[in-house]
Amino acid sequence: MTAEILVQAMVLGLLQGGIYALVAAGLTLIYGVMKVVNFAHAEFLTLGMYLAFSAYTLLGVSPYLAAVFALGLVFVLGAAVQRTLIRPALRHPQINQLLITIGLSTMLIGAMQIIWGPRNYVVPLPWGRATLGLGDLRVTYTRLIAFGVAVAIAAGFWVFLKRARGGLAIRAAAQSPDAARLMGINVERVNLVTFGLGTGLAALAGALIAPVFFINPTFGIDYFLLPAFVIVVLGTMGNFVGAMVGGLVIGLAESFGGLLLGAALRQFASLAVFVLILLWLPRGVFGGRMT
Amino acid sequence: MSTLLELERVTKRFGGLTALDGVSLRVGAGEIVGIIGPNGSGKTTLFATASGFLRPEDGDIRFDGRSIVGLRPSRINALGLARTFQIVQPFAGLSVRENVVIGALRGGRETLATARRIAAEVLDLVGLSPRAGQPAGNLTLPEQKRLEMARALATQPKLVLLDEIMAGLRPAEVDQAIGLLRQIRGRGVTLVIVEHLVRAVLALAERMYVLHHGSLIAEGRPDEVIHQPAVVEAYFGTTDGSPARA
Repeated sequence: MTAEILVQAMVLGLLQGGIYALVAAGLTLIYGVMKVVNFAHAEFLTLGMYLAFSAYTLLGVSPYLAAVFALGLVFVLGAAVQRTLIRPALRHPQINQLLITIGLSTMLIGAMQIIWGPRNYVVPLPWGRATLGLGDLRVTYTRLIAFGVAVAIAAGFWVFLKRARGGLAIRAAAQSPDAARLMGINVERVNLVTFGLGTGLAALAGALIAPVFFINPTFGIDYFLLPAFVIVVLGTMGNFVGAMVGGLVIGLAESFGGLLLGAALRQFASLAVFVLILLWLPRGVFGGRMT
Repeated sequence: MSTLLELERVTKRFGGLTALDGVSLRVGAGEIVGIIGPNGSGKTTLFATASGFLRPEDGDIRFDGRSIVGLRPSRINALGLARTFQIVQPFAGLSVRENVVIGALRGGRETLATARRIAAEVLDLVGLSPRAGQPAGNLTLPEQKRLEMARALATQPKLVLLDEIMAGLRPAEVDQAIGLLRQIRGRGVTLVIVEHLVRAVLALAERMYVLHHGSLIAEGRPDEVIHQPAVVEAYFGTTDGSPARA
């Protein structure tokens, strides 16, 4: 095994990890604010991929422009889902919320199958296979763009959480909903916006990776749901920065795992990390909540 | 003196338990009103109902001339009624400054710059400025109680409901807190204090209500109220010399 292969694996792992980070960021945000575990999260990513696909093949719109619309569209859809399915369940036991999001996942997969069919699609960008070469290292531009935009969006969102009024309201509601209400914060609206943003970010990530992967109705649940959960737990449920770092860690773990054990077992490494964390650091690496 | 907060025959039940039984009281603008009563007499329920966290089954609550029954807590706060929690509920992972800035934003009606300025002022007032950069979870209990106060004040309220902010404080800290509350009232903020510590209420309140089993059993000037037989009985058992109930 040569050093070039290791470097290649590391770069690919980081590139994948950036996307994981953005997807997990939305998931951890929703959990942090509402304490709802959204099992339908990956379907919003798949939906973002299909939206980018249809925008490109039907309208000739670039997937990267479509990503913006996917964010907006799925924000509205996510908010509607929160209002109709999640909000009424917030007062009920967590198992009810769990079953609702699992049901939602099944429904969304079915709906996408009806609309787009079960076959695999690709977004046939003319330069989709073009690569950037640095010595022996080869990376497609599509992956580089997806990574760059995902990391920039996640960083921008972090600044929003830290610095903006809306971000402060979200963090306050996550820490103590009752106290937030007393501070004049409309926690119901914060919940609505947070769910819309979290699912919207997943759709945005989906649109960004639409030119990289095959698109089918179960793509998200097959390849992103499990890593996203591992990352959220690794980075401490509800911790935004934890999700960022965890995303990169799991991206690397999968990449090196695939290298050592073969592509079919690539998730073995990340699941091993997951099990070890649950055994030894059940509260995640970052301890406290949403900092 | 104009009436700021008025409860009229407010009743709150939890299943078969009547936590508030037709409670009527009024608080004038600029007053410090004390509410005392033994454990389980309904003091915290009274605050939770007035601040919109619980909805009364019966009766009316008016604040600043309008009925606030059925309004959301955030809406009631926006009208100028703030409340602190008996069990402190800081945004533990956020800094002390951020905690107060969130209050000062008043649900987004102030700009961030204004909110920061107000927060700095209030932190100065309660003496937490040196701790402003710390995570709120790192504060000691007395400091967290002052943070509760600071957050409530930062929302620029007309009236603050203070729920047991002296509980767990040492005597010297109680004296400090009493001084702080006088200062706050001096700024024109009306205060309603629920307190286990009768000494603090006697030192501060101009008028006082006594709650027992969800009903008001006495009201008036503190030094008068405290000696009324019904009050003595509620606290110590019957006045005829039989043993007090715990």
